[in-house]
Amino acid sequence: MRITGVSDVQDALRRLDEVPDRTRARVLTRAAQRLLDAAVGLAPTDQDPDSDERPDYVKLRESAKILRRKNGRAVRFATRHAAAQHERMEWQHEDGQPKFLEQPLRAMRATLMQDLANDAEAEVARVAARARKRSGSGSGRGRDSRGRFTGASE
Amino acid sequence: MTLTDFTSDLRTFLAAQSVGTAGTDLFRGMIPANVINAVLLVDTGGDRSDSTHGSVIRTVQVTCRHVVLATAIAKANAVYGLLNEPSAPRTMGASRVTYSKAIQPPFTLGQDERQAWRVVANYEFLLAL
Repeated sequence: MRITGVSDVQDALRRLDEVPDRTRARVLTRAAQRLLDAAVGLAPTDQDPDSDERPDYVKLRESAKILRRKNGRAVRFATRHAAAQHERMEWQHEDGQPKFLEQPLRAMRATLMQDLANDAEAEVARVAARARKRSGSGSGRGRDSRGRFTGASE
Repeated sequence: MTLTDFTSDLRTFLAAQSVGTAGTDLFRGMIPANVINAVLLVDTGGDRSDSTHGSVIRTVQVTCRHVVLATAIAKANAVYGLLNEPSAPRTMGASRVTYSKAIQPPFTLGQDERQAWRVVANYEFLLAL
């Protein structure tokens, strides 16, 4: 499925809405994971973290997490210095950069709808193939835990 | 595509709206070391251009910095009111701004190394090519 214009995007959204909830959740979680992985790779490493004696101190890269939301997923860096590291454009970093979350999100946005639609279609096909396999490919036969055929045979 | 010096155009627009005075308390790129209270505009890139529809998205970070938090917040809110979803397209210098929107409302980064408060918001601008 190829998305080219506004009507295609709307159609993709409708089709995503028609996908079963669990499938949609898996697709959204995978997309969020791709974003998180990219953002962690760009996030600056903490300089001299051992000097911070606060009991709740968490390193920036280690603070990244995916949160479930009612209408999707959120990627969050849950540490108190995350916002400053993200927004202070003049800070120099030995490793990493500011806008470590916004930049990969913008890069993903261009193809996000296409990727979600492709992933959803693939996921639906996978689930259907698994279901067919479990039911013995429609012959009324299945396999037990040892791989032996069960059920009616011809 | 014709590239415009958009942050310069934005600075001129904000100066005309009494947000600040260019070179005194309204800057692009960085705030000079001898200035504390200022508004800073930083170009943060944007998105791919859309040559089919003749437009490009630019993003700009606006930092309102002041030793008094309430003043920094008030300035940031004033800028937000000017740039977030205006009712009509407008021209800023050589730039034709079809649409502009805040990516988030202004938020506080806390005090910096000179004990000045920084209140930040990022904006997206749809520019006609």
